[in-house]
Amino acid sequence: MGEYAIRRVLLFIPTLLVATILVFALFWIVPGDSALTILVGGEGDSGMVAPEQLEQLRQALGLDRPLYVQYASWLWDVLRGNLGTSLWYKTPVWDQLQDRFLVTMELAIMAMLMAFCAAVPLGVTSAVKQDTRFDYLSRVFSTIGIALPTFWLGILIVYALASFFQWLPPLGYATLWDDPLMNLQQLIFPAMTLAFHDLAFTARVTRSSMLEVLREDYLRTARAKGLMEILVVGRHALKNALLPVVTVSGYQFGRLLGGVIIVESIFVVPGMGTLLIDSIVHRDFIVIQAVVLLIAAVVLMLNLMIDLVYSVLDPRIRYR
Amino acid sequence: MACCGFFQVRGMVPVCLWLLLLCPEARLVATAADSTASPEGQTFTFPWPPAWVARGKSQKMILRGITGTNPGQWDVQSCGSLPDCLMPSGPQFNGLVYHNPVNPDEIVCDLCDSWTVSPDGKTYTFRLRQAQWHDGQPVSAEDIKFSLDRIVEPGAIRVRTGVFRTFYEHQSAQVLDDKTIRVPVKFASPLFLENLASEYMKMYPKHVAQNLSADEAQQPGKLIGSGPWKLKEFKPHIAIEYVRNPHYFKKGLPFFDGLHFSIIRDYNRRLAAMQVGQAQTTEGPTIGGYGNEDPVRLQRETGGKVRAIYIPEAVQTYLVLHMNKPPFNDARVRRAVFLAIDRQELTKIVRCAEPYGCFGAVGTFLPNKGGQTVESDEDLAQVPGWRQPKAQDLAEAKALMVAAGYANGVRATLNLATGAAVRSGEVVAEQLRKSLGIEFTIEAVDRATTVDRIIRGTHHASLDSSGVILLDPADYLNQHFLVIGGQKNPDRWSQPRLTEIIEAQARESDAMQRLSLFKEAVEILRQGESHMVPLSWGYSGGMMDYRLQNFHVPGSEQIVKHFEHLWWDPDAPLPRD
Repeated sequence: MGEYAIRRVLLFIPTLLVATILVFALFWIVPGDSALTILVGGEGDSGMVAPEQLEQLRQALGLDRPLYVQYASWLWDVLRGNLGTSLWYKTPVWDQLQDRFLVTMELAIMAMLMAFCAAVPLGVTSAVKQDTRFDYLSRVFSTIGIALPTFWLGILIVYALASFFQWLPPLGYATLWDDPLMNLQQLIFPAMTLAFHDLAFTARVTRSSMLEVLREDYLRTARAKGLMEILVVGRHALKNALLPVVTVSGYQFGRLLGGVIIVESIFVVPGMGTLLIDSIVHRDFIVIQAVVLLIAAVVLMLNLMIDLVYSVLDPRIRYR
Repeated sequence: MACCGFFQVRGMVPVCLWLLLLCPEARLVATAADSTASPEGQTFTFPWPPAWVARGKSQKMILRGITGTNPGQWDVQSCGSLPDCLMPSGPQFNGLVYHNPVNPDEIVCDLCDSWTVSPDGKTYTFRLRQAQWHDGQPVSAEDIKFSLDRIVEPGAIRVRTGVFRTFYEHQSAQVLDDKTIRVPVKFASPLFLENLASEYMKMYPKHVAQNLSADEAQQPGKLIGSGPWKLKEFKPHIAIEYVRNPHYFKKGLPFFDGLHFSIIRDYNRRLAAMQVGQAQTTEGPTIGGYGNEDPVRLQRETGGKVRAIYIPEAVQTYLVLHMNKPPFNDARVRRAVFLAIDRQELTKIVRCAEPYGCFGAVGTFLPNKGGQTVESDEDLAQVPGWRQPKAQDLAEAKALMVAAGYANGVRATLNLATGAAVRSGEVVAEQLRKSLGIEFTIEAVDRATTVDRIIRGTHHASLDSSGVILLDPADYLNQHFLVIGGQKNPDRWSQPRLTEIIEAQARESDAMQRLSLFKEAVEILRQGESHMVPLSWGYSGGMMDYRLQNFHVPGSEQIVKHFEHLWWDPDAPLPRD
């Protein structure tokens, strides 16, 4: 397994390279650049910008160089452990990333745990009580969860809290270890927003996987031997049904990191999503590249971990 | 009720009722006044708050605001953005002169104590107050000279303040003594003081600023000022915090112990923060982002706890017709578009929201700012392009299209930014399709991309908007017709007589003569042959808690950013609708 893991880690390199090249290329296809946003303001407040001023700033920022030179220069810095300096903030990118990464990861993990802890019991119960009123309600709930865009749900939650309870999560940000209660107040609603879709999707997958497993002969045998239903479902069925659920969870985590970008803005969470949106507005490709690189690395690492977990869940799986 | 007269613009009656609440004549309870007489007939009058505020009874609080942007630039002299730079950084600094926060049309001393002007109007002598920088060093004439020279530094990028180069020659100011500076002006101009009073013309301490590179100066906290607030901490994407400057040279000011601006990117979340009382004011406190019905709606929904604030005629929306390609390289087609647009219909559709009222107006070509009325309602009612009914204008527009060889219409692309501009673009495109057969394909993109496309002239037309910076009609002429080749005039349109007028008005000291030059400029622009087709004027809007006192609505969202004059009245009566 060790050799397999090393091989997979080595495969990260071309994957990350392709991801950053793609983002870089996409970024440069879109018109506008950092020089322009620095002069006119990222929020649409335009000054009297003369073309000469624009050109002067482009040269100062090195944006007048050929694209491949700009990319190679960035890559060379990254290989030396330097993520670069933000074109907009003029500060090292790593300084901005380190705190935000933890915030985003905390939010994503909280959402993931909420989704997983609710989805598995829901899916299992739904499968066990197939075609009952509970099952129908659970399926409707799942369908709504999948259909509802995350950002819209977030706006609805903010609207409901403000209009009906005259309360909103406190502004600012407190870390988990500084003020756990405030941290919980600030993150619980964005985590719920993010979790809703994952919960619905994972519940559906769990249900269908369980339905398949519940029809297996070995379960009939277990019941015939007089095993309690809770043990049949909990010990024998669930363990085998979890394999696709774990696979889906890995995929969902990557998707969740995408959802974080909007949800962080709606709930004023100072994580990587907020930073990424700001950097896109300001055309700060140095920061964008760093965020993408980090998110891609996390997703790749997670997928590797999930692949390795397979062998724990199903001893028949062997890696070579 | 003078200030309410200020809001009697077209279609504005409902909002004006609410603005009554802001009028000092209506509800200010000033108990004393600190007046500093200055030469040239100007008087700086600062109304003091109720005695309990002066005693410090209720100022032991932090004023909490919200802002939608995470600032990236802090050098106000250099930058060009109100939300990204001036709003966050401005409260730390003073200008030499500024717009009186309690009478925003008036220019008064800020760091200066008085000024005199030579008989030929070409030399200003400023006497400075006993002020100190945040590090305790005294503000000296040498600092002012350094700041003026830094603003006009040859080759340096000065997005907003670059215009000052028109008036002031680098290194030309003379330090007469520690507290007196003589500033020669290239030519006598009524615009010199107006430009000097711009919020971007902040004064920096020489001993600090001269040691900073351009990039270093853009870092938070690197530049210090003499202003009412000291930057306490900038927490990126979380908040900007200021503490009161205890040694501020304006005794007794500011009233709050600090400012705390939460950075909230999401627009709806900002509204919600105001709704539940998490913030007491929006940024600025007024800024274009709330120039719609939302402030009034929130005011109603909170029973008056949140007050709506609007600056009328603050932002103009217009079409830029790109002359680098057909069909708009033909002046006849440009005039046809100018005539065919039904501005009244457009304004009604785009700027009005029942049941809250209208938040914009057809408006004039040049804004009537600084107490000067260049174009009256009566004038406009007769002007081609504005007059109703449209039959005569449409007939002429169609004839022009035929003469230009576009009798069967033409296809074109329209570049605009996503958001509010899309609705304007749709209405204009539909009007021009029906009246002239111009089939626009609308391409909405983000703001930065829109600007890039305007500068490069990639489309046939662009829909853009521009705010009033200085309270003078010349501001708009300068923005659109002085800077050639940039975003405001990408295809370098010019007209010899208009250029003469722009130069002449800057040197004209006689107000009536100046007004007549503006009227002549407007007559030229009304021919509709330039690249710019005005569409409508929108409001700049914001919100404040009803207990926040002494805010006086300025004529531009770009001025009055000190917050030094605001105080909190916990016993203020809840306003009634």
